[in-house]
Amino acid sequence: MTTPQDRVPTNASGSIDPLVQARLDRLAGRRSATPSPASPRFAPPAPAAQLNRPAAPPARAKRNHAARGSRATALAVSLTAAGALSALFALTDGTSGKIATASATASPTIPTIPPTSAATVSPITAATTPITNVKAAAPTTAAVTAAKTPVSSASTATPGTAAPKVASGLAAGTFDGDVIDTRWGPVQVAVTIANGKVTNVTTLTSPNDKQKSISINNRATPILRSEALSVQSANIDSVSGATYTSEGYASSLQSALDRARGGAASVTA
Amino acid sequence: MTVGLHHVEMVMGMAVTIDVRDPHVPAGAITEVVDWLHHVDATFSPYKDSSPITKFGRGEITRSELTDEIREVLELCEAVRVDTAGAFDIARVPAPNGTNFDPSGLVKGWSIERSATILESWSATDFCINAGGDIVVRGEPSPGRPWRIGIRHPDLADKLATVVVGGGPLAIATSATYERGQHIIDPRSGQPATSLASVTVVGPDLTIADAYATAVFVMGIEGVRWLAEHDGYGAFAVTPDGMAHSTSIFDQYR
Repeated sequence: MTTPQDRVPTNASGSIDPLVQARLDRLAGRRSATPSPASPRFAPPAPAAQLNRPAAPPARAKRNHAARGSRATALAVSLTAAGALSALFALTDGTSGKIATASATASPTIPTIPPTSAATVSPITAATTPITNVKAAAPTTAAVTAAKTPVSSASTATPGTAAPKVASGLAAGTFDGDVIDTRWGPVQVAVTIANGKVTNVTTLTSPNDKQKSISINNRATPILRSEALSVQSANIDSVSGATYTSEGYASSLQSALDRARGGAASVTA
Repeated sequence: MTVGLHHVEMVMGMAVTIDVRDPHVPAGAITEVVDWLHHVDATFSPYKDSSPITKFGRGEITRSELTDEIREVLELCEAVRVDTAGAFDIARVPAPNGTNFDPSGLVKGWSIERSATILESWSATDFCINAGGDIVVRGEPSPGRPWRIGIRHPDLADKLATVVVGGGPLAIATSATYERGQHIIDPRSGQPATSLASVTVVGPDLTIADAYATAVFVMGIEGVRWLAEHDGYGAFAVTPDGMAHSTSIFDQYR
C-alpha cells in the first residue's frame, strides 16, 4: 500500500516544489514594496532555533493593477503639495537641527531669518540628521511618505549657480532631490526658490504606473443584525468562517449545506 | 440528483468538505485527498506528541531530521513572517503541545491547496474544498454559474455578513475567535488580538490567504490597509461595533 505522501505530487528530486517556489517568489516580489520586519529573528523556545532562514528569492516584477493610473495622479498631486511644505521647512529650520513636520495645517509662509548662527549652519547639514529616523520609521500612509520624501531632497540639494542668500534665509535656485524609493515606486521632486520664496515644485519622477493600489473603502458598512443575509436567500455553495470544531460543525451552516448537497453524503471520522 | 462527488471528512480537528461537481471523477480522487489530509495531520499536528512538528518544537529532533516536506512548510512560514513584519510568526504562539511553535496557521491552507492539486491530477476541474471554513474553489459549480461563498456573520451563527462570488482558482480564508472561543495571540506582544471581530481574506492561493487572514486579524484595521497594498489579495474585516471594512480587491468579488 502506498502512503499518502507517495501519492501526492511531491518533488522527486528533493528540490523545492514548484508550487512552493511560486509562493515564495510572490512573497519576495511583495517584500520589496513592504517595510522590513522590525528585526530578523526566529527564536522558538526550544532548539527549533535551528531553522535556517531561507535565502530571499529574487524579486519579481509587480503585476499591473487596473486602478493604478488614476491613483498615481492623485499621489503626484499630494506629493507635490506636501513636498512644497516640507522642503520649505527642511531648508529654513536649520538652526534648530530638526525638521518641521509638514502637514495640511502648516502655513507656507516664509519664516524669518533665524538669529545668530543662521548664517553658519547649513540647512543641508541640519536636514540630513532626520533622514535616519525617516528611513527607520515604517511609513503607514501616503501622506506620511510623501511628506518625508522632500526631506531627503533637501538633504542632498545642490543650489544652482551662485545662490545668494536672501532675507528669508532661502537660497535661490532649483534644488533637485534624490530619487527616493517609496513603496509606490521612485519619486524625485525639484523645488525652485526665488526671492526667498518657493515658486515652484515639480515632480521629476513619479511612481506613475508603478503605484500600488492602496485604497480601502473609506465608508465602513454596517452589517447590522437586521441586514444580515440569510443563507436561503443568498443561494450559496459554501460558507467561510472561523474554524469550527468537529462538534461545532454539526450545527454549522456548512453542515446544513452538506446535508442538502450530499443527500447520501458520506461523513467519516 | 447529485452530480459529482461529495464527502465530509473529520480530520485535523475539523470537518473538511470535498465537493466535486465534475460528473465523471472517480471516487479514488476523494480517497487520495482523505489519505493526504490524515498524513498532514499525523505530520504537522501540534496536538500529537508523536508528530514531527511537536518533536521539533520540543527540540527532540533537529532540522536536519525533518523531511523536505516539513522544511518547505517552514520556509513558507518564514517568508510570510518576513512579509507580515512578524504579525504571523509560528515560533511565538502558544501551541497545544505546550511549546510556542505551531505552524498550523499555514499548514491548513497549504494542505488544502495540495488537496486541490490532487483533485486536478484526477482531471477534476470544478470543485470546492472547505476545511473548517477556509475554502478553495476551482472552475464553477454548474455551467455558467460562479461559486457563491457566504461569509459568516461574526455575531450571528446562522447569518451571513456578505457573499463572495467568483470562479476558481480562488481561495477564501476567515480568521475570528467566535467559533472556538480561544484567543488569537499577537506574536509581537504575546497578547490576544481584540480589535477585529472577524477578517476574511480572498486571493489566488489558500496557503497565503490563510496566513494573511491570521496576520490581518492580529494587525487590526491597520492590517486591512496593509493588505490593500498586496496585489491579488483582498480583505473584508468586521470591527466589534459591527462595521465592515473592505479593500477594493475584495469588493471585486462582491
